[in-house]
Amino acid sequence: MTEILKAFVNVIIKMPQGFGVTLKYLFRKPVTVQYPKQKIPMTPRYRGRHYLERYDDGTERCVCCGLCAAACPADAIYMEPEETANGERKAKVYEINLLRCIFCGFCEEACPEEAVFLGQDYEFSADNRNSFIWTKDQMLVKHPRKENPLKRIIRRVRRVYGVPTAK
Amino acid sequence: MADSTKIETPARTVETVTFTINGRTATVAKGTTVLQAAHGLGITIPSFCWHPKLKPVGACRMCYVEIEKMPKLQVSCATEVTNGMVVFTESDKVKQGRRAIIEFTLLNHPLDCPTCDKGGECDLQNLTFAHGYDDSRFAFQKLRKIEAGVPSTFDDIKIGPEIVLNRNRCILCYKCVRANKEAFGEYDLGAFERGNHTEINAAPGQQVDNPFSGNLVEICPVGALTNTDWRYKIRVWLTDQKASICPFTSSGTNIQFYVERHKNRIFRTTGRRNDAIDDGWLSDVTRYGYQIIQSPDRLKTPLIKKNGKQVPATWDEALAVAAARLTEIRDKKGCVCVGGLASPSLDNASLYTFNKFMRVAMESNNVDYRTEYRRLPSSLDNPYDIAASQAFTIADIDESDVIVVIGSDLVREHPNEYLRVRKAEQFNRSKVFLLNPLSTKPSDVAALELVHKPGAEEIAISAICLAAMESGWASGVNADDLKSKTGFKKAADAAGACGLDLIEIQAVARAIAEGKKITIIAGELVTRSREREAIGAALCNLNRVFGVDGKGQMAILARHANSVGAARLGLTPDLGAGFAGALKSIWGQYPETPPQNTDAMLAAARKEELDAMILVGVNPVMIYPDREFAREALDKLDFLIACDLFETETTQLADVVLPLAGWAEYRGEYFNLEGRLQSAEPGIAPLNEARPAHQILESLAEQCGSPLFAGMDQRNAEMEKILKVDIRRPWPTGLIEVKPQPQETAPERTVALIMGDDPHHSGYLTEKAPSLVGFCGEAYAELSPELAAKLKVGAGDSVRLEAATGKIIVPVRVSEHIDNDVVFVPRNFMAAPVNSLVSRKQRVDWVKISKVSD
Amino acid sequence: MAESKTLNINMGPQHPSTHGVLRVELEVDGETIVRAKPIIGYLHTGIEKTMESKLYYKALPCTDRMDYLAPMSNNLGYCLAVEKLLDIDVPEKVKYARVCLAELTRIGSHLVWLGTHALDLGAMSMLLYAFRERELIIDIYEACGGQRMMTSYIRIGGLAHDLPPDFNARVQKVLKVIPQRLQEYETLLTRNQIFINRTKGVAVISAEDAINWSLSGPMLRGSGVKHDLRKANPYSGYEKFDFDIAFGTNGDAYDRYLLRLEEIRQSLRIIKQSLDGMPSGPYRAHVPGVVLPPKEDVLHKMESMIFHFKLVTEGFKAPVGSVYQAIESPKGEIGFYITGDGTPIPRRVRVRPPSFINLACLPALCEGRLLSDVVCSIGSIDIVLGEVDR
Repeated sequence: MTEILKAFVNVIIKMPQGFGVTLKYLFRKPVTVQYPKQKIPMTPRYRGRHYLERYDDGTERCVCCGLCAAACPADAIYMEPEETANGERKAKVYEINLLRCIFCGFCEEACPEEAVFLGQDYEFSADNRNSFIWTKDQMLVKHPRKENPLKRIIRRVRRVYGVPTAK
Repeated sequence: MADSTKIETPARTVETVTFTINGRTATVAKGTTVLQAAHGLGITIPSFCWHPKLKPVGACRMCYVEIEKMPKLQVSCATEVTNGMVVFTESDKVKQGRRAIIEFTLLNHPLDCPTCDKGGECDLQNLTFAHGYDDSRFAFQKLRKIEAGVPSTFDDIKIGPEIVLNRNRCILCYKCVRANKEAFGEYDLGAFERGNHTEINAAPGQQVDNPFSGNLVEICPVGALTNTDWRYKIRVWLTDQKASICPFTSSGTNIQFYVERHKNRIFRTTGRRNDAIDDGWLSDVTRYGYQIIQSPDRLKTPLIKKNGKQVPATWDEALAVAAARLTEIRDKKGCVCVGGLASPSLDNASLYTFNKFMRVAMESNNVDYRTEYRRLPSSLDNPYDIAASQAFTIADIDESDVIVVIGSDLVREHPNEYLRVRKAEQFNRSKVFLLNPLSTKPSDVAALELVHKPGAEEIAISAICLAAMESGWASGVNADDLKSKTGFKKAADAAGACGLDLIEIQAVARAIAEGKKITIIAGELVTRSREREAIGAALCNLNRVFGVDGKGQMAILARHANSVGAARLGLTPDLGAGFAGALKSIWGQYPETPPQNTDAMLAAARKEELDAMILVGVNPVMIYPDREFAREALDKLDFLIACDLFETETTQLADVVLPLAGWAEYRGEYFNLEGRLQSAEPGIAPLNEARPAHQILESLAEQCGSPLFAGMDQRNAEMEKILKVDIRRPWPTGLIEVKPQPQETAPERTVALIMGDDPHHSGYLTEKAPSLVGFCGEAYAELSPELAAKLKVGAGDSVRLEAATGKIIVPVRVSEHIDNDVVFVPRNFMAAPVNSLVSRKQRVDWVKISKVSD
Repeated sequence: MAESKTLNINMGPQHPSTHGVLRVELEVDGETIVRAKPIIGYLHTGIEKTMESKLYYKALPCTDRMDYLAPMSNNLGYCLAVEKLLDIDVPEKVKYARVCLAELTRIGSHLVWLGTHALDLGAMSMLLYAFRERELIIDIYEACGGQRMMTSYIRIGGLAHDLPPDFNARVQKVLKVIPQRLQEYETLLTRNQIFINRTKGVAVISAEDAINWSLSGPMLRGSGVKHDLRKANPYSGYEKFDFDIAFGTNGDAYDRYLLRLEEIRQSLRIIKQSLDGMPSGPYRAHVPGVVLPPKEDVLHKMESMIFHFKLVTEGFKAPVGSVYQAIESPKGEIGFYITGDGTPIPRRVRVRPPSFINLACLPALCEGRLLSDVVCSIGSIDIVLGEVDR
C-alpha cells in the first residue's frame, strides 16, 4: 500500500519536478558550440599534428637521431639521415604516418633537440591514405609556437659545448 | 668458436698464483692481470681502454678495483695478480670510483649523442648508463677542439679515405693508436699535444689509409672515429646481425653484416672475433667488400646474345637457350668439347653442383677452378700439391718462435696471417724471416729479410738446405744426394745464383734448425710461378732436411675463400684413380674423356677444339696470366655461358650471361685454408633477379635433361661422402730433384714485373666497392727510389710498362720498401690490366719501363 | 496445446544498448529470457600481447585504450605495478596528484555510465547533462596530458608533466559544479517512477553470489559487501584520505545507481582533500636509469643526455619476478600482473579487467527475467568493451 502511495507521489509531484529541470535549461544559453564555425581553443599541451621546429636562423633543428622513431609505440615514424655538404647530420626523409600515430607525444618527449612537437591542429581528414603520410616539408612549415619549449631554443653548437643560456 | 672469456696466459709460464676475488678463491697463471683473471671467472669489469689483443695501458681508469692493503683503487688491467691478493670489484668504494671516472670522462664530452653514429652501441653510453649518474655537477663551458676552416658545427674532420674523426668526442683511451702500432704496425695515427689538449689525429701530412684502418673505427669506444661507410646511414638498433664469412681472403675471417631487412640492405660489416682465425681484426677488403653486393652496376637480368648484341631476357629464355646449345654441342661433337671454370670463392654446394654438372650432365672432365695460374700440373701427385695440401693452423703462428715466409707478399695476400706474424713478433718475440723477390710489408718486424733474384725461389730454398747440411744441422740427409738433387755443389754457389749472401742464408738455416716451433708459410709468388713444381720440390727437401713436420708446420697457403673446398670437392680435371673411383661410386658414372685443365682448355678453345664453356664467377680475360690468349680463346668458342655479378670483359664475349648471386645473398659453407668448415648466413635476399650458382646449375642440368639431385638432402649426403676422401698427401720421405731452370731475359726489358693484389683490392670485383676505390682506385707501378731516380720519375708521373704481349700506362708510386730492380703492379684493375704484360710461358715477366711525358 | 517453443535472438553486436560490440545470444520464451549468453571478442585488440612486445614505458599508451572511459585509472594501475616491480617510490606530490586524477576519472566514468544507462532506460536529457559535466573533467585531462581521452599522463615514476598552472582552478570548478548537478540528476531520476520501475528489483544479485562471481566495484558493493581496494589495500596514499565506502542493500540496478551517485560525492570529498593537501615538489621521482631526466638537463648535461638516450632507445631493465597490483577503478578491481625477466620488455602482462569479470554474471542477472530487463542489466554492470576484450 505504501508502495502504491509512494509511486503516486512520485508521479504527481516528483516527476514534474524533473520536468522542471529540463524546462529550466530551455531558457539557458546552450553549452554546445557550432563546431566548424566556432572552435574551442585547445590547451597549450594539446597533442595534435606534428611540427618540426627550426632555429631562429632558419636551419632545421632535427638531426635525424632516430630517438622519436625509437620511442614511438606505434612505429609511425620513418626517417633516413643524410650528410649535408658541410658534414652535418640532417634528415633526408622524415615521415610520420598519421594513420598509425596515436598522438601519445612520446616523440616530443624523446626529442633531444626539441625539434619535433605536437601542435594544436586536430583537423586532418583526407580522401586517400597516402595523404596521411606527412613529410618533412609539411611539418617544417610555420606554426603557432607553443610557449613552453621555446625558451630553450639556442643554437645547437652553443648548447652542445655548454655555453650557459641566458635565462 | 673460441670462448671470448678464455684467460689468456702469457706463453711459456707454468707458475701459478692464488688470489681471492669478491670472496672467491681462484688460481691463475702468473703474469695474468686482475682484469683478465676476473673476466675468466665471469666477473665483468668495465673498461674503455683495455682490449684483449693489445697490451694494457691503464689510460681510462675505468677498470678500478679495490685491492686489500692498497690504499687507493687500482687499475685492474695493468695490475698483475699476486699470491694472496684480495680483490673486490663491486664494493662501494669501487662504485664510487667508477662514477667519478665517468663524470671525469664526460667533462669535455659534447652532447653529441643525437648526431653521433655510435649512439646505441657506444661503450661510453653503456658504461655511463650502467655505472654513472644521470646528473652532472659541471655546467661550465666544454673544451672544444676545432680546426679553422671546418665548415661544420659538428667538428668532424676526415683523416682517411674512410675515417672521420671528431676529437671532441674522444676520451683518449689510445686504443686506436695502440692497435695501429701494436697489431698493424702502422704509424699514421698518433696522439698530439698534452694534458687537457691531447688529441688523436693523423700523422702530419698523412692519411689513415692502412689496410686495417677500419678496425680503428670498430674498436673506438666512442664516436670519435666513425667511418663514412656507416656514417649517417642508419641507427644500429634498427639493424639485425647476420654471421658471415669473408669471401676475399682464404682464412675465412668471421664477419657479421648489419642488415635492415625491410630495405633488404647491408649497412656495414664488423668482425665476429674468432681467436682461432682472426683475433677480431678485419682487413679493409673484408670490411668494405660487401659493397659490391649492393652496387648499382650488378647484372639485373640474364642476357642473351642476339645478332651479335646482348639483350635482356628472362631466366626461362636464357636457361632454355643455354640448355639447348649445350645439349646440342655435347651430343653432336662429343663431351670433350665442353669445358667449365668455377671460382674458388664459391661455396661448397655451388662448387660441388658445378663438378657434378660438368662430369655427369656434360660428361666432361674439363673442370677447373685455378684460372689465375700458369702451367698447371696435369695431375695432383706433384711436389707442389704435396706442399699445398699440408695441414696448417693459423693460431699456431702465434706460438712459433721461428717464422719463415717464402714467396709471399703477406699483407697483400693473407692479411690475417700477416697480423698473426706481427703478433708473434710483438708479443712472443718470435724471429721472422722473409724470403721474397721483393721487399714486403712485415719487413719491419723481420729479423732478416732476404730479397733474392726474381725467379730463383727454389735456388734460395736449396741454398738454405745446403747451408744446413754444410753446418751439420741436416742430420739424416745424404750430402751427396742433396747436392745432386739441388744441382749445386756448395751453398755459396746456390746463394750466389739467387743473389743472396751466404751469411744470410746461414742465419736462416740456423734459425730453422734451432727453432723449437717453426712455421713456414709459402704463398702466392710460389703458386703463381710457372715453376711451382720445382719450388714445391725445394720445399719438400726443406722439410726433409730440417724435419719441419716434426716441430712445426709448413704449407703453401691457399689464396681464395674456398680453394680448399674446391680441391676437396674434386674440381681439378685429373683426380687420380682413388678420387675418381669414389666419385664414380657415388654418381654411378664418371666421364672417360681426357682431363683438361684451364691452360689446356683455353689452348683447345683457341684451336677450336673446344666448342662451349661455362664460367661461373670467373673472369679469365682479367685474371688469366695472359690476357690476349684468354680473350682469343673465349672469342673462338661457339658457345659461352658466363655467370657473374657484373658485366665484365668476359661476359661481353658470352652468348648467355646469367646474373649470379653474391655470397652475402645465400647460405653457404666454406673451407678456410686450415680446412675449417664455416658457414655463412645470408645477409639479404638476392637482389634483382640474381640466383646462387648451385641453383642456376641445377636448373640448367634439369633443362639439359639430366637432373642432378632429387633434393638438397641428396646433394648434402653426396658432398658428405666426397669430403671423406682424404686428399692430403704425406711429405715425401726422400729428397726430390729440383730441376734447374734456365733464366730467360730479354735484353731491352730489364725490370722484373711482380704482379699481386693491392691490400685494398682483391679480385676483379672489389673495384665495385666505392669505399675500397677510395683507398686505391687505379693500378700503379711501385718502384724503388733508385729505379725511379734512374727513370727520372717521381710520384705523380706516369710510366709505360711494355712487354712482348702488351703495354699499359700507370702512375708511379715510389716505395722505400723496394730496393731492387723490380716493379710491383697490382692486378685486376679494369683500366690497366697488368695481365696483358704477362705471358703464360714466361717464368719472370721482364718489362721495359719508360716515362710518359705529358 | 501447442508445444511451447523458444526463440533464439541475437542482441548485438551492433545494438545501441550493448555499449559497444557486445553480443548477447538470447533464448526467449515469449518475453522471458530462458538463457542469455554474452559473446565477446568483437573488439579484441591483443593489448596484453602488444604490451609484451614493447618496452615498459612504451606499453603505457596501450593501457589508455582498455577502459577508455577511465584512462587515468588504467595508467595508474599499470604504473603502480611497474613501480612495484622495480621497487621505486614516487614523491608525495605525485601520489596526491594521482589520487586526485583517479577520483576525477571515477567521476567522469560514472557520469558516462549515468548518462548512457538513463538513456537506455529512456531518459534522453540525462545523457546530455552527464556528458556536459564530464566535459569539465576531460578538459582537465587535456590541460594535464594534452589528450582528452588517451591521456598517458601518469607515468612510471611520476607524471608526464607537472600539473598545469590552472589545475587548481579547473578542479575547483568541478568541485563547485558537480554537487549542484548531482542534485539535478537526483531530481530527474531518483524519484522518477519510470526509472524506478525499470530498475528496482531488476538485475538482482545477492552478496553471496556477487562474491562467488568474484564481482568487484559497484557490482559488489551494490549487494552490500563493503569491499573497496582503496580501504582494503590502500595504494598511492589512499590511507591518508577520509572517505566512506558507498554500498547498497538490495543488490539491484536501482541500488547501484544510488551507490554510484554516492561514490561521486565521496570522490569529490577525496579530490577536495587532495587539493588542499597537495604538497609541492617534483612531479616525477628521481630514479636514474628508470625515469627520464628533466628535459632541461638533457639539453645541457652530458650525463642526462646519455641517460635520456639510453632510456628512450633501450628502456630500463626490470628485475626478474612477478608482481600483481590492483587498484579500485570506477568499474571495480583492475589488476596488472607483470612478470619481468631481466630484459627491458615484460615477459608477461596480464590484466584483470573488472568489466570482463563483472560481465560474466550477466546470465545470472537476466535469466528468468523479461527481455527489456536485459538492457537494464547490461547497463547497470557498467562495461566497457575495450576492457572486456582488450
